[in-house]
Amino acid sequence: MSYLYYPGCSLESSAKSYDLSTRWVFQSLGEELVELEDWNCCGATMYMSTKETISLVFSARNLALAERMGGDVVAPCSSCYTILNKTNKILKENFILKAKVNQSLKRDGLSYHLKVKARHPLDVLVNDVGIDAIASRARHSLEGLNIAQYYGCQIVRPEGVFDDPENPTTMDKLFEALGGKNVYFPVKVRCCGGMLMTTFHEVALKLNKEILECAVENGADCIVTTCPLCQINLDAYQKKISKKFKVKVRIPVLFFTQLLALSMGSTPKEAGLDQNLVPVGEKILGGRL
Amino acid sequence: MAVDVLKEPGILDKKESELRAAFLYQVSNIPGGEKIKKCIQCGTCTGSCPVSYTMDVMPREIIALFRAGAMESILNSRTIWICASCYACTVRCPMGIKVTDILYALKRMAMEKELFPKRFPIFVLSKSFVYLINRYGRSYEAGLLLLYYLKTNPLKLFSLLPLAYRLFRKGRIAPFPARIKKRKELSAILAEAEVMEMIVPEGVYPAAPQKGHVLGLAKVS
Amino acid sequence: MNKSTQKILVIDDDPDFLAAVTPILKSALYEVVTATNPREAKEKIFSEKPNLILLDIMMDSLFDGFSLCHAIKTSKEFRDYKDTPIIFVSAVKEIAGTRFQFKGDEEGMAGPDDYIDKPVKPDDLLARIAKLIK
Repeated sequence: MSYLYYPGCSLESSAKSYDLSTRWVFQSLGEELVELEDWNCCGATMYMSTKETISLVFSARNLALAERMGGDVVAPCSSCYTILNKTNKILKENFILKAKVNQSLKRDGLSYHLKVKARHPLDVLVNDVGIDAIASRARHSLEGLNIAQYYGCQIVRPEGVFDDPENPTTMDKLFEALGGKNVYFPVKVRCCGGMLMTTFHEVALKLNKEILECAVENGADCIVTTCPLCQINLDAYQKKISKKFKVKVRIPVLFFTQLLALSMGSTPKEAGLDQNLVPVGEKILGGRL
Repeated sequence: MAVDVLKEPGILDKKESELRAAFLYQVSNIPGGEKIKKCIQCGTCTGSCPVSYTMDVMPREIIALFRAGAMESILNSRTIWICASCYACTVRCPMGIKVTDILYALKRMAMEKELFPKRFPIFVLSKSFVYLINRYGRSYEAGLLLLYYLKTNPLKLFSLLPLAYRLFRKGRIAPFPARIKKRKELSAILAEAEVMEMIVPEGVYPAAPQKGHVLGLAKVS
Repeated sequence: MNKSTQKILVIDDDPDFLAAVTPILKSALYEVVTATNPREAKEKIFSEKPNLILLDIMMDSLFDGFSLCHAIKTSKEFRDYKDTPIIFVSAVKEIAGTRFQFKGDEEGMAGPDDYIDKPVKPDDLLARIAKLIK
């Protein structure tokens, strides 16, 4: 079965490494990942806050395209993932909004009949491919690596489709099976502030400081995350946070697919590690160059 | 907290009842939105919110103010714009109230009624975002931030340059916006969606006037 | 004015409704033209130049009629016909539990000139048409 890949706008620019590593992981696991033809922005949380019908039309266009191609959508960006799921839920429960959306899509000969599921690569990898299958393909053990598993908000909330919204463990299990050690990390679903980094900078810095500090204090060698926005917030502002709050935080922040790719034998470049702002040290690469 | 409530008990003025009707319509579109009725004012939402400490009206108070008939003070609050959509409140609410989605509904209303501080950052960000994705079909991060800072605080762009440079060197800033192929078709879809957005249940908003012949009719009769 | 020159376009995807309403309108000496979908309706508006339009809201989808009404009242394509009175005839209330309208606070919005729920009473229909037609 092939999956329809919906990268989302972030994965085209600021999170290119997420795109690279996700494709690499799926390819080496022999799972086909077909990019959704002519996909558009999902509308994100921001469109939702301006116009309801139009935001639903934006995300439903992608779902309609997917329905025409046949298959489930795999969306690595947490925001896209939540929005697509939310669109499905709203259209399912509200036939009037569904009619409005379909009326709009009709202008381009499209229609959507709720047959597409939106899924996250983490969900697909763990629940479809299976941890055992992944572990059996691993070329390098992650032994000795202390990992802080940061899930962020929108992958498990509001619905908690494949994991618990308060204490998700999917990623913990995955990396444990690959030999990594999960550090105590109680802020695994705390908010990073998302777009507040642009609008209410100070507020977002404080949120990020708490997450970074918690990881450092618990002895993590790296933070692993599933969301492009979390990654850039945690990765890009460490210097600023260290200075502002007089703490010392310097810790690499990786996409979970990057670490997965590394352990499955990719080169650092194939996993897009050269794009991380805080350099990924020897401890993670473990001489695997 | 500026609250202008409690006129005559049980009686709402015209503006308040209009806002209320619009709000209830928005809430009725949320799956599970009707649960707002069940709020027990426990404050779990406020306690779970990672940014409630910077809010002027707490999430719990939003529902209290709605009940008290003070929609306007909700719409004027910072609260609805500070929400980062982390859904912690929605997940933890013991009554299953969709707090985050209710805040979305309030944001939409505030934008519609233009009730927010002037040049308020999130509003500008949303507008810039909407402009970009309507135009290209995809978001363009660099363009979005550029537009946003030009409209709010152009001087701040300079302080962002070092970070922008670092990101650019790492290949994390796309020099040009990505576009979808079917932009024309997307515009047609969006134009139709714009019309659909205007269709509302009777009685919630004032009805659109009937154009043209109505005046002529008056002359005849 | 001679009533027989007045032409009414009835747009509805339900042939039974068209069959029922045509004799009623003819009995009042109106000329009747029918269309069963928005596309056909468009052609008929240009070719027949009706004096009034009876428009079903739900055809292929729930809000087809709104879309067409909005186009007639505001788009360039229909600028010669934008003053044609439009009466919505619909059973949408039965299905959705409420009627719908265009929001009025938006600039350039124009609604239908009248709104009748199905089932339609012949006298009521004729009275409302007479009010709108010169």
